[in-house]
Amino acid sequence: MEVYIAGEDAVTLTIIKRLINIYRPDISVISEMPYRGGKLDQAIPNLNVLSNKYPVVLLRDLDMYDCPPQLIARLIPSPKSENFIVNIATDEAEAWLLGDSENFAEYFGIPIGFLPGSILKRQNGPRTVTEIDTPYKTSQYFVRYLLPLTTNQTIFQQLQPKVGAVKGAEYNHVMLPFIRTVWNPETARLKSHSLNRMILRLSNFKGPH
Amino acid sequence: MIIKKLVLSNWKNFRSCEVDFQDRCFVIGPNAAGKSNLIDALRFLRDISKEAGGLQSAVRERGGISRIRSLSARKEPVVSITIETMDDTSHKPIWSYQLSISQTGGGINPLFATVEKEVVYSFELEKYVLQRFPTKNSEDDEMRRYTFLEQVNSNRDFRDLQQFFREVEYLNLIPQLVRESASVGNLLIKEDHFGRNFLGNVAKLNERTRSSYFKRINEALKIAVPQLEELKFVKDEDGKPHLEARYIHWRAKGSKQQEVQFSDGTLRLIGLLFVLFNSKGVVLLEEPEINLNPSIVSRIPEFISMIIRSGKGCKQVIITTHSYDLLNNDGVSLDEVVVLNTSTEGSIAYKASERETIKAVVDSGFSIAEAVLPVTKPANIENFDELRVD
Repeated sequence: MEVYIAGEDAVTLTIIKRLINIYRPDISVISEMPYRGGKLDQAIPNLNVLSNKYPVVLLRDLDMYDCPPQLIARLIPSPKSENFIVNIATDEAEAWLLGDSENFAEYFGIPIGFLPGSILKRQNGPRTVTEIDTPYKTSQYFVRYLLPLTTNQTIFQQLQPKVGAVKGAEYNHVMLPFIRTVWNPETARLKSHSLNRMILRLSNFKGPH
Repeated sequence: MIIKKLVLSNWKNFRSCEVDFQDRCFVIGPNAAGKSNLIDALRFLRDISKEAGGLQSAVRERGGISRIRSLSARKEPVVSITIETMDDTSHKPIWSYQLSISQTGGGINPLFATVEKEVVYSFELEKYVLQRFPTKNSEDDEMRRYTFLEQVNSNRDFRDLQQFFREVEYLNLIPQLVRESASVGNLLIKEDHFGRNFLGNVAKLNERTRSSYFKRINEALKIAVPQLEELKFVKDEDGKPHLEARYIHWRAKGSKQQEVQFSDGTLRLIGLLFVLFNSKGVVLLEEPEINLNPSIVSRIPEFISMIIRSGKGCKQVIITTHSYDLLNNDGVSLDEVVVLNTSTEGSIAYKASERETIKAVVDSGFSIAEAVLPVTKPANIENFDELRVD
């Protein structure tokens, strides 16, 4: 089966590819959308149309929104195609990476005791779900709180943002190899309901209707 | 007359390939997929047809048949180019020209390119005007070293085809060479694709034509480079040609600048506009986006379309590009985009409109750029993230 994948940055796109690689090796990726990234939300209506011909796997961060279903309803024009596999990472895809705390701690040189655990969260709905617990946006928590704790000076230099920059100058160069070769989603899914849902969606996807 | 179709066999990156061209055409692909080599086949026919050109010189300039042959073709010795032309307004086919060549010599004997087959078909007359199979016609080795295309005694029935190939223009203007040409006054370079003789070419035009071009170039420059005004052609005391413009700054009248002081982008834009206005046939452009601001690049496709439609310049433009901005234009059709991809059996070429996966993306509301550029990414580009320098 051939699919298009859509993500808002290199991290989300690489996570999609890693999960497909592990859980659906029968699926091949045609290409990534949108080509230049950054305009994912604007592209979502078009991706919904595209998925009528070729399935589309999308991964977007929840960011400041409370509830994934509400965000999906806001972003996707109805009717949503059944071949449009929409996934929302709570609160960011980086939180999914923190879910594999042992590998994360070793790769980034951060003492494991400082990494956040998971807690039961109520996301503006009736159910409670398990997600990684960071006091504020995961990527910022990582850079501001966790990164200074690293014992790996190279990692620190690569990831420490310069004044005015959002991410470190070599952010992707560090994160993407971790996602591709080190990160274990089987461990991480135990601490993140949203990751577990994405894995189940991928695993259960039967193909174009 | 413009190019309708190009068929290559055993040519550089291509074991075999067939490409249909529109009057405006974008050739895209990863690095080293053969974009330049595809249009080099058209330049090859130009080099055969031009004055003081010919088959041997065209082959020699490319390093011999061994450098032209496709590595993917293994032992196949014959290189073949077929081209079909069509009328630029009615799009009715006019000529089909096929040339197959191989190499003779080696060891202590000098190497020569040898014609194996040369065929010209006239769609208007509905007949072959040349069917040349030198081995069957018992031509001697010396005769086989020349195409009939390059010989006025032999191409009488299809001479306008020779003229057509001669008028194919190729531009890959390198600003530094334009500046150098002015400083050394080098006007004797026979071929000029990179700007070494750009100023010399401008100098050759008659005054009226040149003024007309400069008027139009100035209109475009006024918008794209507003601090430059009144671009004109001048000659210095030694008779060397120069471009001169007024650079607007805090002084009321600004100051005069010549090409050595122009920015790379300004020179490339001037070169681009000049070749589009000056050509009366096919223009081959290599990555026109280089050095230009994206807001200018995004306007190039419509500008080219306007020139072609007006009949006041080139008739066909074939562009190699990597540019998102150039292709992110709703007026560009999938039929106008030729995609090259690499494989172990050589590069393959296809029209973007022939691929369902690409069509589906455009049909979903995405731009052509969004649909085609992901297809041209190197297959293992992700490995770039794994590179280490320490």
